[in-house]
Amino acid sequence: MKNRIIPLATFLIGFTAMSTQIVVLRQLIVVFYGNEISLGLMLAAWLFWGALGSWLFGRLGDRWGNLTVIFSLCQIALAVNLTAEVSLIRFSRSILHILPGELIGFLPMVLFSFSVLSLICIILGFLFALACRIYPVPARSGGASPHAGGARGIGTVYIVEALGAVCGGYLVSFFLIRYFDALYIMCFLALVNLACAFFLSAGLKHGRAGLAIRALSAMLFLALSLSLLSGQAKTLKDFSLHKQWKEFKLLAVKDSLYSNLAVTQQGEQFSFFSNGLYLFSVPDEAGSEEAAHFALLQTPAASQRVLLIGAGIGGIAGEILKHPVSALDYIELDPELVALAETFLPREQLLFLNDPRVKVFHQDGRLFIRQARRLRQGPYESVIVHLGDPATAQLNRYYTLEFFRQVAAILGDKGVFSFSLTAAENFLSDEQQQFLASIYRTLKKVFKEIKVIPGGTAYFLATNTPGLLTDDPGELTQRLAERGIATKFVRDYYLFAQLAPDRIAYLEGKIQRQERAQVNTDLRPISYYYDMVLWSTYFAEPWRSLFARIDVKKLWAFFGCVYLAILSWGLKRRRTNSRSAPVLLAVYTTGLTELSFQVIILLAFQIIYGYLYYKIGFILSSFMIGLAGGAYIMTKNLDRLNDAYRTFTKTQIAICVYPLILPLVFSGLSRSGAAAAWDWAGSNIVFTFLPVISGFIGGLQFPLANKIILSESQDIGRVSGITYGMDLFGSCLGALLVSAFLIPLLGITQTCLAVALLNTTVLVFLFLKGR
Amino acid sequence: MYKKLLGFILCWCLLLPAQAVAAQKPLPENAREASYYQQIDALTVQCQLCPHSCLLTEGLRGICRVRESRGGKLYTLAYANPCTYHIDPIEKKPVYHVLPGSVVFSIATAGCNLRCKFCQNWNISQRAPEEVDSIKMNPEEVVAAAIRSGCTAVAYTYTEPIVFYEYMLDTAKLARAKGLKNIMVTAGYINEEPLRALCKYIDVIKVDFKSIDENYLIKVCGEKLEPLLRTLKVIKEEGVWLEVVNLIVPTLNDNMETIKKMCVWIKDNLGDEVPLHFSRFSPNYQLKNLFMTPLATLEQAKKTAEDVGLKFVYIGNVPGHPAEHTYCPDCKALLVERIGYSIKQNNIADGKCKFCGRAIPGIW
Repeated sequence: MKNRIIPLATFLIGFTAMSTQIVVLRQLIVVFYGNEISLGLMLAAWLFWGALGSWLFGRLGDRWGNLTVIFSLCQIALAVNLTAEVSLIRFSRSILHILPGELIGFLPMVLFSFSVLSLICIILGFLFALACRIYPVPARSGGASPHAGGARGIGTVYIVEALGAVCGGYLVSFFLIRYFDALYIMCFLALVNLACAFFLSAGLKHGRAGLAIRALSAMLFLALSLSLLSGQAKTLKDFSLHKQWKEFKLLAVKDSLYSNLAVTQQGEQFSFFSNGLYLFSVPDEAGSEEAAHFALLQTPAASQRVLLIGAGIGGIAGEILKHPVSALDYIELDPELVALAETFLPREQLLFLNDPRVKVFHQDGRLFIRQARRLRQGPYESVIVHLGDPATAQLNRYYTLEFFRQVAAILGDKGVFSFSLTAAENFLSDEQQQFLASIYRTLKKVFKEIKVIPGGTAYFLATNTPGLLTDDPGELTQRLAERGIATKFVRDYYLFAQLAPDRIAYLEGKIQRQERAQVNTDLRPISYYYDMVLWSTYFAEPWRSLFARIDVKKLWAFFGCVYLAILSWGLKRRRTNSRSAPVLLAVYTTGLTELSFQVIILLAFQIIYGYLYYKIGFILSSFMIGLAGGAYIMTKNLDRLNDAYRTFTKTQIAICVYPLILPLVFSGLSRSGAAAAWDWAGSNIVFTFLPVISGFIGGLQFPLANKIILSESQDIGRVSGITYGMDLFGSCLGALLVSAFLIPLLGITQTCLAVALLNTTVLVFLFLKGR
Repeated sequence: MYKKLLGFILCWCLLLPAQAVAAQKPLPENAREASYYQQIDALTVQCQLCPHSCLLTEGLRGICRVRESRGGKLYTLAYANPCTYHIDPIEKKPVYHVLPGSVVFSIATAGCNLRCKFCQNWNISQRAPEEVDSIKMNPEEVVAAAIRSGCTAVAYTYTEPIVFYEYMLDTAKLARAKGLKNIMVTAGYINEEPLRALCKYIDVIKVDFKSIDENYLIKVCGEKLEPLLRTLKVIKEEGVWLEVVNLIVPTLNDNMETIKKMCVWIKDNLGDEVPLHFSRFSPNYQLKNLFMTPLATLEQAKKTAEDVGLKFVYIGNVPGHPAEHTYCPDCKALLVERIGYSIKQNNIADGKCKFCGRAIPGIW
């Protein structure tokens, strides 16, 4: 019985870990500001505690007796924590005394993320190490080395856990998250873990311990089931949501595939939030009029075709239709947002949805523009992007050189492209100047003429028709009158104040003279880094100037020091007998590299093909399948390997080479044009194999590393704990560094190079020990 | 290995204070001795400009980030170094009862003695002078530039002008001598003595009365209530033209009972003719994640103030709203019609309603 349950319990570790990660990180994002550094930080906290749990507690497994009892107890402890986790996060604003709508600084974010994730992740890491000790591995006859059995056990646990993670990831992200509140999903996970603990303890020899665990797990299972059935869990859900959105009258919270959406009401005003971030309010005449009319008043065309990406339901679409528009194509990635608007907004706010000129497309804006010419959409007289600042790598795709070129290609004669960014009315700080100048310079590389309308929100207008744009308030007022458009804000008095010559000169002067700002490209998305630097200045924390000081040269100097340190360590240790040090270092750097591969491949896919939720999930799963596949093949052949160290070194060569191939593949695919066949092949074939291969290489290394270290130490718990821990510690560093610093500052190509060089240095270390 | 690391960390920690002393830079050229402070000992001073009363040892700066203690003296680093200047309509301050339709020369330096989480100009108010791009502009140059650009007044605005007190005072003296008015846009967090000295040269003061709820003031703005109330009374006593603004931040200070309490206090202490502007909040700075104030809340606040008996109540940041206009309290006629910052008609002649002859308070 026990032997049959343990593989299931191991599967459940991966399943619970991945499901919880998705649910909990989503909840944390709602509390904190969702830029790349905060996302990286939350993931790093997750990996850090997992690593610590596996590394520190793994060694205890070798000293303690009945491990199955401990395993079951850990599952029960995990279940209790899972049940409390979501509520704890939702209460965080009250715990931290955060005001409604207040952004949270870096330090509270670090402290809260790390403390709230600690228990769950430590238990999950410990469970992995325990599973390695208790997993039933059939003995192999023949010439198997004595430590191969242990390594095979660890390898098998690694595979089964990875498969559990794939299943958990799929089930939660494609099904559970859409239909159930996070609290219920966690309760479901807790119930499964409690049931597993019950059945696992059923096979225990130690009668009393087994009985106690069965009684405890059964009691908790019943209590949790009853609370779910009796509606107490719903009461807790409502209460926790109320606490999270305290002071706001919350109408609905909905987890869509893309984000956590919320709608609040204040009198006759409705406000929409995505992942806790304020999106827009309805009505907001000032914002809607500015976004629509600043752009559309520039084009004298009598009958315009307009493309709007984002926030149409916030009132912009209605304003656009006041112009002589022949067609309005409105792109809104998330259909749930429109569905929520239809449920709660007054009918008159959504009249535009019934207008025959309006077509709504629920797809990624970049994908739409990429396909526009092929599908004969356009040309457009106006393209308006209204998505907010590029706070994340995903949003940054709408402000890159490549995207601007795609927009220019679908603009018709006398076409105007417009978007808005946060600025400041009276003064632009260095950080704001740098951020705005980066986008301005990028725009300048594609469009012949640019005008920027100053204000708290700066509106960028660009065209390739010289002399088309005007910032003359008199001219714009006249056009409004000619078209018979009635507005409350964007009209004579407003235009004259907003377009005051001294303010235009101030803004343009500041951003044109900003020399340090660099062009924002797909492969080097620097603008979201500048946005992060700007965000850091919101808080009077000691490190607010730190982000601004980091640059490419300093990063490379730092890497140089790391490479030299590794080499000198390698030289110092080359005469010692132990091979554990270079192998563990390699496992650490592989953890970092594997995470880099995931981030880079995901970002590259979104850059080239756009954001497709199912495809993103598929890429992540492909990676895990590759990981499990690599570990499976290597585990199967472990007994036959005579020189595991030599094979390990060969896998390290693969890890050195693979990051060099990635930029070449991305470059080839992005230049392949928008032909349908190429698109299909790239999206479905190449981007299936890229993550599989990267996972596969990492998967190969893990069992090998265990075999090599087990040849020097027989403590399976300690060895599995330390290798898994090193793998996760490496991933933790990767989570902190790659998307927040390396990719925007170095770009994808140089990041790949830095990773390749790091692995090469480790390879040299391995060679030094191998001789 | 561990010992080496520990030793390195220890050395570094020991070196830090030495580095801090060595890093103390000489004062910038524009620095000058501050006006209101007391020397406590050879290296310690206490600033007496605002109610924070910062006790500063050598090299330390006050909460405002612009006043620094050096050698037993207090220096201001915010003198003749504005980081921004613009020509604004007077309605933008907002000041509605002073020369409607005129333009004012607006200046600001870095720094502020408050920590409002919704600050519109946080990128200069929450910075020290050396952290922002500043220009050299002495009081003579400010006044000359104001006259050159056809402005009727110099406005000390955007950040908290109290922190550049000496610069403001010197400029105000010159501006008055040249026939210009002086407008201070402030949160009013200043001690009585410096305020009275300043009032001699300032014509108009617009005070941000952020709330009468001390809990809100402490949590959201970093100020106490009593000094603010005292400032308002002193301004009234000194006979300087006063307008009051209340920024309504949704969920934080939009309780109508509290607003009513504030209006009653205004009526009892400042009179019923002081203009009160309810301003609309829009997401900014650390409250970037909060929605703008619903129009209904602003309208409800206006009604509350009028029910209390205040005669000139306005709604700000909502162009086109009827509550932007000035009406005669007696005959209810439309006196000054505003749309945004522009004036469509002005029916006030010689400070009186054109229709019924009632005196309308203000500078016309």
